[in-house]
Amino acid sequence: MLRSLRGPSGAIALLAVVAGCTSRMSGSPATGGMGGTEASAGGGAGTSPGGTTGMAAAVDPTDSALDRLTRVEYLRTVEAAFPGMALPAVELPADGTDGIFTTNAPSRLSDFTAYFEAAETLGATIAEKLVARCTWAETSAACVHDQLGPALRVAYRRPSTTNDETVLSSLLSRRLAEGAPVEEALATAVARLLLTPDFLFRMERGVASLPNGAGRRLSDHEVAARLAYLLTDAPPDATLLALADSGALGDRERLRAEAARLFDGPLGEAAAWRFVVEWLDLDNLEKRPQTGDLGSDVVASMHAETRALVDHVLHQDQAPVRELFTAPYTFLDARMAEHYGVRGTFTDEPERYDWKGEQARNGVLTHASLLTALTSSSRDKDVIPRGRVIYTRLLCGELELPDAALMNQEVADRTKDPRCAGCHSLMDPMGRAFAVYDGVGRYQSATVVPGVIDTGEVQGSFSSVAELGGLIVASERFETCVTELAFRQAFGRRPRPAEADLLATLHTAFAGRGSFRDLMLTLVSSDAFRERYDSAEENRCAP
Amino acid sequence: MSQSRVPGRLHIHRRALTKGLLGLGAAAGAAPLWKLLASRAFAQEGATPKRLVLWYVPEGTEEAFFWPKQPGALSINMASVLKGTEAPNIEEHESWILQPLEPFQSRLALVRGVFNDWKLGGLDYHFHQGRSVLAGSGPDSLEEVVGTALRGGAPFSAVRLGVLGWTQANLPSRQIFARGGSRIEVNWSPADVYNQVFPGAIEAGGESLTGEALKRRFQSRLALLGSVGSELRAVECAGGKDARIRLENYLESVERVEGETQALLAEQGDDPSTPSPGTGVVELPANAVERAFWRKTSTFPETGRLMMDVAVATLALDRTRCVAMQWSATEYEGHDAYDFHRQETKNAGDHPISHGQANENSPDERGSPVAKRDRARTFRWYNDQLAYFLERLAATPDGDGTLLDNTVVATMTDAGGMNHNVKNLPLMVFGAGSQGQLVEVVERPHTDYLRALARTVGVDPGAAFGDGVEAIDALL
Repeated sequence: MLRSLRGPSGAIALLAVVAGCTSRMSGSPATGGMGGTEASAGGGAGTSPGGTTGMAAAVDPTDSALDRLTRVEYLRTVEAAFPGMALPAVELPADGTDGIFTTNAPSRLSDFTAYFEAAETLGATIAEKLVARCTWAETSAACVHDQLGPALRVAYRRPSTTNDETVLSSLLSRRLAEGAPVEEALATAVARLLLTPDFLFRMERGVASLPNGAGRRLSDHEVAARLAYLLTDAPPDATLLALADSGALGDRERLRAEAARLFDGPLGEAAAWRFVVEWLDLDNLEKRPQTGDLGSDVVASMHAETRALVDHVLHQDQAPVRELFTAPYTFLDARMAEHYGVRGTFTDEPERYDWKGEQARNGVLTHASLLTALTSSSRDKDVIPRGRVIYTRLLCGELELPDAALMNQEVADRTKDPRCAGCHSLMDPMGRAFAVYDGVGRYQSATVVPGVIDTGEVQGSFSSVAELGGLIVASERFETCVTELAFRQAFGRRPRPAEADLLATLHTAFAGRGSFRDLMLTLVSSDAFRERYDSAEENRCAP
Repeated sequence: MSQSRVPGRLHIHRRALTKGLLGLGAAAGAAPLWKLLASRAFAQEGATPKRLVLWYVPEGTEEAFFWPKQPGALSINMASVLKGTEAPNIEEHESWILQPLEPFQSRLALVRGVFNDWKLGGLDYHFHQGRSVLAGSGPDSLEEVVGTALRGGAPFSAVRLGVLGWTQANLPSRQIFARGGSRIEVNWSPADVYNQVFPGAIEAGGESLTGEALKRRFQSRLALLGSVGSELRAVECAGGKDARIRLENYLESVERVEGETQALLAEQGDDPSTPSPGTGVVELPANAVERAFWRKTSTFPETGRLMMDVAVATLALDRTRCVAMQWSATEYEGHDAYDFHRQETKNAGDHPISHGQANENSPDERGSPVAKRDRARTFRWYNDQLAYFLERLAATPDGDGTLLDNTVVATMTDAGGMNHNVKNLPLMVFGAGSQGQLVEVVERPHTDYLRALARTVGVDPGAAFGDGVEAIDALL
């Protein structure tokens, strides 16, 4: 029962993680990844698996979390359950993050009031549309079965049961008996549907214990939900649900084919785009002060350029991910051409343009979107955020920020001061390579700042962003980093020690053609994707 | 003092007056409903309760413009002037930021020497400074600890309000409230909170619910939550320990709102003509319930005013004994920030300014004169608002005195001075110990401040905020 675990104080023990620049990068199972710096810095409150405050949770970040739907997932699931209805806007709790990606896997929420109000608001609108479709007062159970049964199946991502329907029809009958008008009583029943844990959370009860007892093997419907939310940010569609119904998803090849279908579809493209946006901090673009001077149309075109390249590389060409950072071509519309100072005839739609040597641009690292998003108005302007994104997001390196007292001091040379140099001696040379671009990504100078990178795993010298990018993406470290990030996105946790083989398999799949599609399809075909883990004995519960 | 300040009293909506239901100056023989409700609750407990109000402003202050020169008896120097970007000089600028609060200085205790004690180590000081402000290293924030203890017959243990932080809702540093180790997200629409605290007060079309409809709404919610609660209690296994804690949190939330709703239903009684008690108590700006109102920077002052009015109404009608208000225009890049001294919107946030950046004249200098001037003006602007709030409390009858007499108002912030300097947090407490004094303490962790605030209203916080049980005695 739910009461059993909470002690009198309700307090939760702490888990502290210390990270550092100088000695290691994340990536090995159960030592880095989500437990690292950015997870702690960005995790939702009380949420960060490696969090360090009193509000952090004693969650083993290699355990499977009970994931709550994100805002997008919630809204898309309601829309899919009640198609064709114009639904009102509702305020939902803010999404959590693991430091890079939007996810509620590491998030513990303590106040669900917003969900209550959203359910009541949506319930009222939906009831208004449904009330005339059935004799709800006279034949409550039959009406619930006929009118809400299909919605239950979509909303809960599994076949609806008699009990599911009874819960709603009982509530409907109770409210009618208490004197509520039919539409009002129906609104309460619909709201109830939207407050059921099977809707709000990704409930993974499983169908059988794993051989070692440390978790459960998931049902086909639970796998379908994982698959759909991962690859499309949406619930399973009718095709996927039907396959889960028939038990066909137990077939690895069938599952892979379904994953390919979802990945290749428009929602799949949008989800992959979100992955890249969050991976590279491109969602900072609109937040930069200087974008106000550019105008929203230019900002939109910046996004459009990068989106076109991402769609092209990840989907249309299924090219190696590294091409995102090495492509000697881009996609320009007229506004971006003007922004970059490129001559030629362009339209309102981004079209492929091969760089002709007048500017040294190669891939996303030289896109105005990223250069603008990673601009700072602090000292040395853009060096730190641009260097940081390479170190932390392309190489999965970890940072440790100094304490506040040091941040208030003037430091003569942060790349030499021992309190700062561990990180800055790595990041700053990389950040300075971008000096040829201004704060909105325009080419401003031919003055190249040559640099050296030496992280132990990645070594070399560079005299341009293109050379730097080439060094990075040619490294094995880049491959393992992307592999790890995909794992993290898929599972909402970091790898377990026993999953070293899986990581190696994923790495192999990715290192081959280097395609994001291959990586994701291999990932969802793994045993781990069909399993839920609860590592410690005290964490387990009998099914 | 702000020129636009409205004389301090609760606004009475015209419709409510014409119905003769409400009003501080209601006709003889017809006691206003709010007074009846409040007195009924207080009668059960025997005395007018003590209340606590927490006032959170982000980013700290600029010290040279804030503190008086001398400790001891407080005398806000009304002759101080901040002309422009002159270098901070305590001889010329002392307590300039405090000037709006001069009418209340006899109730004010300033506390200097407290630092933000985010002791658990840091990977991001924004994260830890913000998160520790109200909770220290404990699982519950101050308003939760105090509100639960003070609740008495009030429907809500604590009411949390906020302004303009919705774009930052994902940033942990903006999530200052917590319960059981998990965050509590502020509802950034004061109108929404008004309708939660006074259900049915604002309905589509401007009418409020009365009698039967309101009663049905409560019953409907109780039926809904009761059904959800039953299901949650029956869950045997949904994953590991973490999964169960998440469902426990959900269940606790269900049960808490059930309790609140039951209290509201009981208070509503059976009279079918009784309107929502909140009807017309707060004057709502046009479109206050719409996202376009509370999400817009340009309505920041109006949203803030509404937040304060809702807070006063909430206390006056004894909906709660503890209110926390979170101001946040702190990091508003890309959404236009509010320019506190020009009273307009602009393109750089309060947070970059606190780092000495994003100013028109010296974008790259940390702690530039322009940034310091803007930081000082920002904090003073917030004090203008605080003065308005205190006026409202002072103008609201409560027991034998006013609401201000029965309320401790305490300010919170995450930083002392510019650039997240954690020392010398600018702390102000009205209505507790050492009134009319500048109290100097020596490097006391802010958890001592949290514990002291709990004790000012008779609540023993124990070890709620982390290690230690010390408090700043001067405030008691």
